[in-house]
Amino acid sequence: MFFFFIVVFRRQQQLAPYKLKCDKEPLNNKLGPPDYYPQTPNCPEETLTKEYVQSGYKETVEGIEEAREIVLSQIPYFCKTDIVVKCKEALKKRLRAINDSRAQKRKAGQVYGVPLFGSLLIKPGVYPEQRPCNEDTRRKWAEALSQPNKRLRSLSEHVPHGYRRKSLLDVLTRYNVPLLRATWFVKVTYLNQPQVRSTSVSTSAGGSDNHRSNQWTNDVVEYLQQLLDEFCLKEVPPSFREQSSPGLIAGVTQVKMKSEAPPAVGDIDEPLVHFKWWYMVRLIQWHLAEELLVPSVLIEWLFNQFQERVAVEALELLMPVALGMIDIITLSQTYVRMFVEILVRRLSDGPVVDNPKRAHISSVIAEVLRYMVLAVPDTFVSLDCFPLPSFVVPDVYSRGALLKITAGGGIAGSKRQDGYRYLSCGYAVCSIQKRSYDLATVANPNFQARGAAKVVQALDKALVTGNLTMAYLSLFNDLSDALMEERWIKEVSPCLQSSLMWIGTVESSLICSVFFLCEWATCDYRDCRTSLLRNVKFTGRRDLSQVHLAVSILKNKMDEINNLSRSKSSSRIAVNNTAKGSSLNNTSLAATVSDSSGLRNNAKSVDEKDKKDIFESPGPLHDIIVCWLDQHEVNSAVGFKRVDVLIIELIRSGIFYPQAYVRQLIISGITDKNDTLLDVERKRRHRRILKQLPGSSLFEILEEDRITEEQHLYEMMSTYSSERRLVLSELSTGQAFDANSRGEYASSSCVPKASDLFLASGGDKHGRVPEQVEDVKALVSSMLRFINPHSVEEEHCQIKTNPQGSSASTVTQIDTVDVKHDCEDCARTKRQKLDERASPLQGFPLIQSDEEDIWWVRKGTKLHESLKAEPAQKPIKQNSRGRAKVVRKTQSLAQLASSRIEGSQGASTSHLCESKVGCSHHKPSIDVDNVKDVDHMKIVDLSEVGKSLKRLRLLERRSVSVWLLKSVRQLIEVNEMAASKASNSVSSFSSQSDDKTLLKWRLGDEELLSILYILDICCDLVSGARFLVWLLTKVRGGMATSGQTGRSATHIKNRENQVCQIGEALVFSSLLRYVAFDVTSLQMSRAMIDLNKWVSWQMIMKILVTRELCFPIPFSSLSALMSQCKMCCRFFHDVSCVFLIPEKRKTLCLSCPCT
Amino acid sequence: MAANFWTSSHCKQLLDQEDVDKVPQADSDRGITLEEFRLVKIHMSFHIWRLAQQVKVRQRVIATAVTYFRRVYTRKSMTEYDPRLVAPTCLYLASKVEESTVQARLLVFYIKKMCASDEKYRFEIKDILEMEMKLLEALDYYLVVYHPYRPLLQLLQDAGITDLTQFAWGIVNDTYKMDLILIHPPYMIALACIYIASVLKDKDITLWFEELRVDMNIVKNISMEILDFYDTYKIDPQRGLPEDKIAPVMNKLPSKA
Repeated sequence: MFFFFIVVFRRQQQLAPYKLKCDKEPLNNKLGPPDYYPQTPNCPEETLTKEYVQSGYKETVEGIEEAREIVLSQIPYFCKTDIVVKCKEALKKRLRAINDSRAQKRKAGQVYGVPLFGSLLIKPGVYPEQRPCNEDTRRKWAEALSQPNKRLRSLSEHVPHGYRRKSLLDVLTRYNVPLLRATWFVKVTYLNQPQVRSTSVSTSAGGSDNHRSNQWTNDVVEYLQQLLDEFCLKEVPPSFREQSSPGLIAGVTQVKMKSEAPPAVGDIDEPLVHFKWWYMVRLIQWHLAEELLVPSVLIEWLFNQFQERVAVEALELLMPVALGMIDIITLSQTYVRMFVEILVRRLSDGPVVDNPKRAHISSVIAEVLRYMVLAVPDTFVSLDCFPLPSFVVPDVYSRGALLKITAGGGIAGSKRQDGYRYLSCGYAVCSIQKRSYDLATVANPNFQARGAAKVVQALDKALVTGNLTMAYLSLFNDLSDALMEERWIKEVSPCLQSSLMWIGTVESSLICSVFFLCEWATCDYRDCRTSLLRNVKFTGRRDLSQVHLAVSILKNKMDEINNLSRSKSSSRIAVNNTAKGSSLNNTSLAATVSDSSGLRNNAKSVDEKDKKDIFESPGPLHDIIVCWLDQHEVNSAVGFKRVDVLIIELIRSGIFYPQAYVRQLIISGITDKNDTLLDVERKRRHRRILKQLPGSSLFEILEEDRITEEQHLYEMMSTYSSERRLVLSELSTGQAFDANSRGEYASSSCVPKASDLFLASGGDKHGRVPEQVEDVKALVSSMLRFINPHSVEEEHCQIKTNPQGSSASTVTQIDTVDVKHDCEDCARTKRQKLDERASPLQGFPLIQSDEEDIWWVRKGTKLHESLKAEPAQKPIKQNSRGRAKVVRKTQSLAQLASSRIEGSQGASTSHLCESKVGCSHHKPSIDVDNVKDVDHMKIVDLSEVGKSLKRLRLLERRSVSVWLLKSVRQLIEVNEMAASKASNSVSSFSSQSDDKTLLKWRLGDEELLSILYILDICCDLVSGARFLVWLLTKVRGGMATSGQTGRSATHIKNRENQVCQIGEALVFSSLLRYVAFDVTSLQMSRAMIDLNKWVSWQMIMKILVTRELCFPIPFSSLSALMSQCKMCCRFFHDVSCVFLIPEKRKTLCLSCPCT
Repeated sequence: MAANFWTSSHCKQLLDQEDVDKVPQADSDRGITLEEFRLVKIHMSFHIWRLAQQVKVRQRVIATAVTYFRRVYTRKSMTEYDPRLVAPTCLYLASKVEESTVQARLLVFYIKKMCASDEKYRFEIKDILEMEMKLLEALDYYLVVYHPYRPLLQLLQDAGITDLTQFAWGIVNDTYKMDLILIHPPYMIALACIYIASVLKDKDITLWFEELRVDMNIVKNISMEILDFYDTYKIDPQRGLPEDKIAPVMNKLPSKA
């Protein structure tokens, strides 16, 4: 019974304490509260089995066997003393790590410096609540607040409601509440702000704590504004003015007065304002330290007041507030700048001596400025406020002012300290100014090589569009690189620079621009036309359009320079006009003998002027180019070629004078220098350039491009040749160059012989013409069949003209040539025979290796076909000259050649005609062997011409191209004149008409293509374009002439077909070829035309580019096209006028008696 | 089983170290010092441990018995309650509370077997039953005790170091040679054991400790007490305290006979 009772009692005890509620904080996110195990649905306790009753509940522990559950112990492990000690140290170390990490995490989540933040606002009842009460209770409460002996705890129970803004501040100032208690009251008031805000006008929701600070700051600023306005409106009695100047002393005085005795009503108002102000100054400083006030709002208000208030008394009130905030102001560069500007302006206002109070204020301002200079000197670096007034920098006057201030209690120690401060401030100001200067210098960086990319882009774009305007402006305006200019100018030898007459007067930027342009033209800069060249490839040569573009730009620049100096330009024009007059008179000298004496006098005066101009530098561009040649290094063969082309084009444009170049080299003494490797390289460069400029070839080019008297050119060229030979011999270094020099000397000595031998056959001029050039000209003449009666007549006419016009020196040289000719006549004949024998053998390999030559072979075949197309005319010739036919059949090819040579050396006219008739008679033969011989001869001529031209120097090739075009123009004009005459008298000269037709036939497609081929090899694309343009005018002119005739339909159709064949098909296709290959060439051709014709030319270009035309073009379509645009007609008319002079020459030549 | 330590009598009866280390007046009159008082409690804890192994009860029964033993002597003196008789009686009572009942005569049998040479440990069955009544009165009949073993397993799993279970379990077993169970909540003792085990086994679980909302200084202090225990008392794993130290103290205590 007793046991049963005990069991029942025990069970009741076990059930009672089980309450499964826990408010403990969980250990972490995953674990719940510690030592808390909520009830689960599947508890073993819910079931009671026999096993549980007998042996109790068994809980298995994972990881530990039941048998070892009791035995486990770490006592044996800790028997060693060392383990215990180490374990303790490790535990402490790890504890520090855990605590440090926790502290850092707490700090990261905590916000510092936010007033009235955190639990104070979350927990209810933390701050006391305000209660409404009557006026008397509020007054008593305020008095209690101002007494230190009253505890805030008791006051917090009955905080009165109704104090806010001005009333709040009035209470604080009236009762002089201590700052700590005042701060408490302000916090309590603004923490209860939501209740107050509900009654106020503002309806914004409760904002952040920052909002409370802003509100409190605005209230303070508003109160300060009221005090300041109130103070300025009233007049200050003299007695209080003196007392207020020390600052806080006034406050103390007022307190004493108040405590001692109650003052009169009138006196209370005035000192009360001062007392309130100083109380607010102290309160502001305290609340700034506690971060209850927003500094930015207060500073902005303060700066506005400094600007608006003019009275000194106002400054006295504002300055203490500024001094209290000086540390905050110096933290911001913006505030420092604003404040310094305000203070400097204040210092400069009015005289200082008159008003002692103003002097005091100025002294305080000076101190503030000194403080800021020393505190934040870096801010003054970017501030333009120097030099500061004399108050700030150390000087005697400032010290004198300080002495006045401290006259009453002057102390030597303070004076010494002030002196030190002045000095340190002076040093700081000097450092600041120096740093400002350094930064200003660095802030203007030199844009090194910045314009180069832009200029290159502009030039590349000009290649595509042909518009030089942008490239011109970019080159001479955007390219500004001082370092590049210095580097380039240094590379030019000083002795050469001293010998140049224009280089000293030219700006370095112009030199740099010209250097850059020359480098761009001759080096492989980016070429954006690479893709175009893939599809268009006619001659397989490299693109030289960059060179032509550069020459165009330099021509524009030369024109600009000449326009700037009008006097020189006008004088040159006069000289040119005189020269033209002289040349015209010279051509008519044979006809008019009576005027010779007067003309000679004029010619002499012109000679002297031309000599001076020719041998002097033509302008600054010439000198700049000489400097560029002196320092330019070529890295590839293409570069060499481009330099050569550039120089030749510059010579033709009148920018570069080789004769002046040679003379400048002589004067500079560069030929005598062998000191350094650089000098040797320079000499090598100049030598290579001069070798490419032989005098004889240059003669023809200058004659072609410039209208100058032949006699003057001859003299200039002879001088140039001798000087050039001299310079080349001096520039040569090493034995190899000496050998080359000797070779040149030998070749030059043979020039008279060559000219003498070929006097009647090919040369237009007798003079110093290289042998090779003459050979090439002979080949071209034979290929194109230039030999005809009219050409012979022309040559005779020129021979008669030259002796009369030549000078004494020319006569002397001719005599020398004759002497040499007599000695070596036989040897020359033998050499010629050997050349003729060798040429057929050399022709075959060239045909196989050169694709271009293969192409011309096909053209040769076409020529053979055209011969077969005219069988009707040849039987007539055969019938009329049966006797000659019998004689020529028996002779061999070699005999025919020798017979031709004998005839050309001085045979009579009738003999020459016979040989020509024989040749024409030989062609109609249908014999197969003869036909093969003709083809073989054609092939040899074409290949030999190309091979010979490629062996020549570039300038020599140009001379060949000039001669070729000149000859072709003359022949075409002669044919036109003959055709017009023939049309006028048809019946009487029927046989002559047949001859003219035969002559005109030679200017067919094959001849034109051959001419263009030669021009391509000579790299004279510009002349080719001009020639085609000129040919267009001839084609149209021929049409007009035939239109005017109005003869029989048969004759008109026959002539039109021949002329139109050239004009319609080949000329346009050639123009298209030039358009596709080199747009710049056409643009350069456009430069020959006035700007007024630009529209018409653009239209033609548009037609060609769009390829709306088909070939051949019917005459009716072409005529309609031309009639639609009047500008085009005028364009052709103006272009044809340019070439009238040669036509007139032909007219005069035809009237000679030698005909 | 479902339980809440924070509303239990065990939580409410937690004592300070000073209260636990107070020597009862009757024992102090007999000349027993604080150090000797501690030695007797260690010796008898060992006695309970050895006796429990004989009767084959679980570790939790031993823990509860030791807790009862040490709690009795925070209220009663050893002069009035002979520790030689209180120890087996606590084991007998704990086996009932933990529902692993052991017969009283079985205990008497094993005591005689273990302490044949010492007549002071010789008791009869009725002696144990009488002491049980007194023991219940001394404990105020609050018999539910919370142990660190359950939170230990929970915390080890959460920390991801279950491989330290045996090592930490051994340290927890050793804490019952001390009075920690009367002073600190069970989870704090478990954390201290885990703290020691992680340091000795070089397991860096600093991040896990950082996330716990627990005062690590208290954990560190508990750990230091455990280590001081190991450093102070050189106990033989099988025999317990040296005989030359414990015999003089036991002689001061009167025996019922």
